[in-house]
Amino acid sequence: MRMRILLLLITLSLASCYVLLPRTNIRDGFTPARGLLTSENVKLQFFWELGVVVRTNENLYLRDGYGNKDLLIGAIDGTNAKNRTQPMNLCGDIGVSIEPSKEGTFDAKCVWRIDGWHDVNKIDYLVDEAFFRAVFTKVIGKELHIYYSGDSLLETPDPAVVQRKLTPEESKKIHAEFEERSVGTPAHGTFINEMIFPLDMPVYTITYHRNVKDFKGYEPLELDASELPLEHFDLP
Amino acid sequence: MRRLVAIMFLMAGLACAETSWFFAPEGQKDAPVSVNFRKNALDGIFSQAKIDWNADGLYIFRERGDSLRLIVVAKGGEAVLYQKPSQKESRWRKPEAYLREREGLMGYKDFEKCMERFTLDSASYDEIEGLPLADYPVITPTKADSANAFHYEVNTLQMPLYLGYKKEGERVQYFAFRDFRVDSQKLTYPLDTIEQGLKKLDVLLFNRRAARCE
Repeated sequence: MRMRILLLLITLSLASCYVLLPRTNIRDGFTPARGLLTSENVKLQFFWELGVVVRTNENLYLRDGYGNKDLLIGAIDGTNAKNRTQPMNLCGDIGVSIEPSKEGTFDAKCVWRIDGWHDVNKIDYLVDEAFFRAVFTKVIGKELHIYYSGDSLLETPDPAVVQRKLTPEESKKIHAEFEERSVGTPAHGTFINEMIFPLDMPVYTITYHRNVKDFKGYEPLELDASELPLEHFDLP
Repeated sequence: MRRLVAIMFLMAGLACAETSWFFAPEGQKDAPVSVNFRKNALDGIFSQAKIDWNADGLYIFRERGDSLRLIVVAKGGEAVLYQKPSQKESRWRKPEAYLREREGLMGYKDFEKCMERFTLDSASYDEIEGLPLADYPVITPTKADSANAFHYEVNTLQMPLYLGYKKEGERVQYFAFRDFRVDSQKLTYPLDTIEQGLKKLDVLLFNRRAARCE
């Protein structure tokens, strides 16, 4: 009997870790569905010549709740982390910063490195993390194709970038290719859109806008001068 | 040569079992675009030098972090080093500012300080000429578990990138590869053979720097 109680307690405490983790994990891509932060605008830029990817989450909103701001600050500067490597896991493998914007709101910048267009797994990951889509990236000839689920990205379409909807047959084919590459893990959405970028375009910019009216349970993030700068970078 | 390359792939695959790196070939289709980015950057900076990109010879860039050098070796061994002046902006913190700063370097007036002409003696020239750069598979170190392939344990940013092309008449052969040498890593065939080639590149070409270039 005592063993069973002990086992139950251990299981409960382990389970509680999983419940608590999402609260500190701001690498969820900043959406209201989960995570500490969300933002009105999301901009993902690939600077191919520099090997740098920057995600900018503009106009940050913090989830209501006592201690959430401290949690956020601690997650970036490592003060609340028992595990001091936590800041690097938040977002960006190079660094993360939260900065005041001209409008008096706050933006987050997450920075990753990228080797090149062949790094399709990383491109999938970055687009998924930014916009919460199932993503499948492929280089075909001199173009990079990004297939994704949900509604359309690229709100300010660039004439050099092709955007189209997939036919049901094409969607099935992409699903099959995705599953082959992800070794059986299913996609968390249906591939229905395609973006086609020319490889020789030096910077790819993908943007998405959310309506702050939908941010129930979130308030605009406020940081005062004493809390800034708020950043963590491990520059190579 | 193609068979050798295929064998190299196979051996690299076999070598995986012993090394902690999985060397996967990149698509060489990327190489011309990657090369063009660097070509355009230096062409702009050294616009007054009027680099001839179409003469027969070897055009090889070496990039590591913010440092970028180009060495052009003409047939016969006459060579020129072009070095990109260093920049103040950080590509990581402010990539757009970094690109704007580089734009500002176009037509750089002090370009002579960032150039060096030299001649390779015939033995050295033969060694460089003989390097099958364009025949090497494009090698990038990545973790064996492809799902986490981008979580490099070793900082690959410290690994220099060599890329460029060899021109002979109408024939242009592009190449792009990272110097995958890691001190602690013992390399097995065929990677140890490629390592010898990389050593020659450094000793014969890239040990040079334009000392007065800022």
